[in-house]
Amino acid sequence: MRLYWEIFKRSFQSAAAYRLEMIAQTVSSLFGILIQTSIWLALYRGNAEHASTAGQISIRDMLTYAILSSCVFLLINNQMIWKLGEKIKTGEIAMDLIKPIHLARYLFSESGGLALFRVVFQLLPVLAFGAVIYGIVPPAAPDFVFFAVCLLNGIVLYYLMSFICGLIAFWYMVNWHTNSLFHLVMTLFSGSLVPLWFFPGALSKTVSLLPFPLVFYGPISVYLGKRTIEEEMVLVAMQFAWIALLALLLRWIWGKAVKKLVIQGG
Amino acid sequence: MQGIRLYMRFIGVYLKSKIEYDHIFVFMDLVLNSVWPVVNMVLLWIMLQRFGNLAGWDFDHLLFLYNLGYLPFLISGMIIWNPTKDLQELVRTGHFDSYLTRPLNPLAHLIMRQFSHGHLFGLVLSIGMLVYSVNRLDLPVNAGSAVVFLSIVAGGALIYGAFMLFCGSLSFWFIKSESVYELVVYEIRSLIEFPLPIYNKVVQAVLLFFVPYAFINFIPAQGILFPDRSAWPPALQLTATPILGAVLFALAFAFFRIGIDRYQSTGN
Amino acid sequence: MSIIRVQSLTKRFKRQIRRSGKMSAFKDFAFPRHEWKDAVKEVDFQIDKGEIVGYIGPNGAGKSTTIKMMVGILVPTSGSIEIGGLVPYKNRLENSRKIGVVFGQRTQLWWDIPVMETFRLMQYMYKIPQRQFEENIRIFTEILGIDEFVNVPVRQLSLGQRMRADLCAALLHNPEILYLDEPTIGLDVDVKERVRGFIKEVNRTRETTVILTTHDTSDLDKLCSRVLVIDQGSLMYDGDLEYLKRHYSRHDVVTVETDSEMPENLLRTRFQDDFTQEGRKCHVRIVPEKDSTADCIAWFIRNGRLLDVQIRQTDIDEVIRNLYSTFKRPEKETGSG
Repeated sequence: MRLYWEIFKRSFQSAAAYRLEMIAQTVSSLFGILIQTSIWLALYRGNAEHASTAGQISIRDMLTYAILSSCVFLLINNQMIWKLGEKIKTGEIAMDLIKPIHLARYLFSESGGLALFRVVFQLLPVLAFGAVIYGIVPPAAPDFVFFAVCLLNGIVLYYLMSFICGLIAFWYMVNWHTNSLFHLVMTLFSGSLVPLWFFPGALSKTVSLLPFPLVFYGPISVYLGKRTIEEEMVLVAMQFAWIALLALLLRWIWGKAVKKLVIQGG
Repeated sequence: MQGIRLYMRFIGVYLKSKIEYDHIFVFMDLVLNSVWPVVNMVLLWIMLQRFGNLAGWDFDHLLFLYNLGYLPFLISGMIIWNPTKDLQELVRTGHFDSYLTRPLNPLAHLIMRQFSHGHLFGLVLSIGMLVYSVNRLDLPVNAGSAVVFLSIVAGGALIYGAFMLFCGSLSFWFIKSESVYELVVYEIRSLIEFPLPIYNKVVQAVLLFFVPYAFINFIPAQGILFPDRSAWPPALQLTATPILGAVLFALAFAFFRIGIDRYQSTGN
Repeated sequence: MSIIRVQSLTKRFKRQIRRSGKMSAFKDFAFPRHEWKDAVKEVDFQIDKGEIVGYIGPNGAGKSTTIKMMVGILVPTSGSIEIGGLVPYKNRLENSRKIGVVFGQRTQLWWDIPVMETFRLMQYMYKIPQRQFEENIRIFTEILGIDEFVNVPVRQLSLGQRMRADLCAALLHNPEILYLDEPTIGLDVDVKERVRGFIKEVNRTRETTVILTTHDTSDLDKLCSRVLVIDQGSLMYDGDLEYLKRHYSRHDVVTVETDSEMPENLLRTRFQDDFTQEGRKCHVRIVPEKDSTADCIAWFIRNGRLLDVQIRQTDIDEVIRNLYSTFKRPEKETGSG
């Protein structure tokens, strides 16, 4: 346990070296917010509210949604797929298997350190910017608790999904393809840009069965109070279910990967 | 011109070689590079199902606008993106030297070394989407409009190319010019995928006067679809783009030349 | 008749002085300090058509800076360069047509396409007539064996193959001058031999002037008759390679094997401390002023029963090392031509 804490700390410190990249990402985030808020303001054009599958959504709701979405993205974004891909390509992964350390937990701690750095130096400034310029809707107390839980689950889910995609490099070498495909799917179905409540009814129902919206749409809709207590509990339950499922899937793929490595030499 | 024939020949050989040795990867390259606009359009379509239109532009208008901005980007991307993006690395490592030992204009040489094949499929897709929206919008299709259209696309490609070249050339002075490149070529560019009026006045001013990407798609699109919304005469709305493109590219090229002079006197 | 004329060539760079200590990064940014560094100082030399010249020096001596100015990449601070009557940096395009350049560590070939296609692109670029093109390809095939890989994309080639291809690409247009920057680095011995043989052949048949920078002393030995040595921006030596070897070699080593071990005190009376013993073998260092190889061997014949003799002449590596070690004294040597 102590070891992982050390890795976490070290990752936090070394993140400071990537100053320029960090600033670039923050700027990118701000541009994203600019575009999204401009679009929503134009779409709403004078109307205070609009109908959706989750009830009436106000423009203030949408502005908050956009800002929170950018913040969540900053929080979860990782180089996992790329990093794993590189390790597998270069064969470094074999060394990782020899070390007396659990790779998944190691990478998680590493991502954690980076995430914390991001929260302090990217997320908070972006959040502050958004709040000042566009205003955020404050959450109701019980909603916020659920929100925190959902967010945490969402982070774990995203991590698991990234890891699984990263392992695909054992079979399919070009990891920017895997990365791109994953981001494509996330953009479409996670609700990061367009909340699921605006999707046409049938589509919305289908997509909500997938794990992707549980990272963005799920937590943010809870924050905005668009769900009843029962719905929130169902949501959290779904998250746990998917986490379990993905963890099993990860185990299975990992087993296959190690077998491949050991037999074929990677 | 002979250089163009040479480049055409290179592209042919390059593609043949890629397909021979890398077919599956080339295929995935093509597909994944081109799918993004489709994703964006799907999301846009979903939103417009509920909201009807965006600042008075409905889905077909927006499709037209988006692709009028995307097609020139692909064209200049295939030709000049890689070399300008990599210029920083070339200057830093000193590899740029080899571009000065040949009897060829260094920019031409840079371009001729590569071809970003990944955007080919996107090109086809983008043209397809444009054709579809032109159809839906019942826009006049004749020799005259074709010429106007081609000149707008060419002008747009020149404007993008100018900024790619300009930002790439910054590496002759500054070591870490990457972030400026990314800011101008990707971030600011993403703003013009949507109609200009949705943004606040400051952003609009930037896109019109500072990094005039608005001239690539918005000004001409508005000129074609809603010519009465602008104070300018329609003729100007449609011809501003190619003129601006030529001027900006000439300026960027001059800047590139100055950069080379500097490289030659200070080493790297 | 000189094809390369360099006079009082100087290149001065402005370098920022980096501070250390507290707030140094900020001070460097807000109040930068600069110093002038002379990479090349008043260098003079002339090279005739058809010479193969080695241009060597310790790392950071100013070799690549000089070459860059000769090739037209860098503009001198002062002094003059004339290559084939042209000033290279003022007539970049025209000068480029007359030269071929090979950089040892990076390729000038197009990465994704077969070698032959790069050659064809160069044919277009340099406007090489078809006959000349075909003739050159034939010669390259004969000597360097490039037909083995001429249809393979460049990125799949081994280092040795790539170097051979680079060399061909540089010579396709029959340049008057060939600049080679570390051409044999990282190559197998047999490839090195072929490459050297090729360079010699091209020089012989076409009178191509060759300027070679290298750290591989066998390159120098096998190819160059003349050597220019630069250190800290100044030309330290310009002349014969043979003279350099004679002048800067300290000693030869004779290894003698006798049928029984020679007694140590006997060896000491003759050779003092200039020997080491390995069983029946004796390694003797012959110091030129004091002794000669012939006398040494004669002594062994008189005093023992000789089974085997080996004479190791001064390694050119040693010559260069000795030469470089003299550079602490600011003298310039010129050897007889």
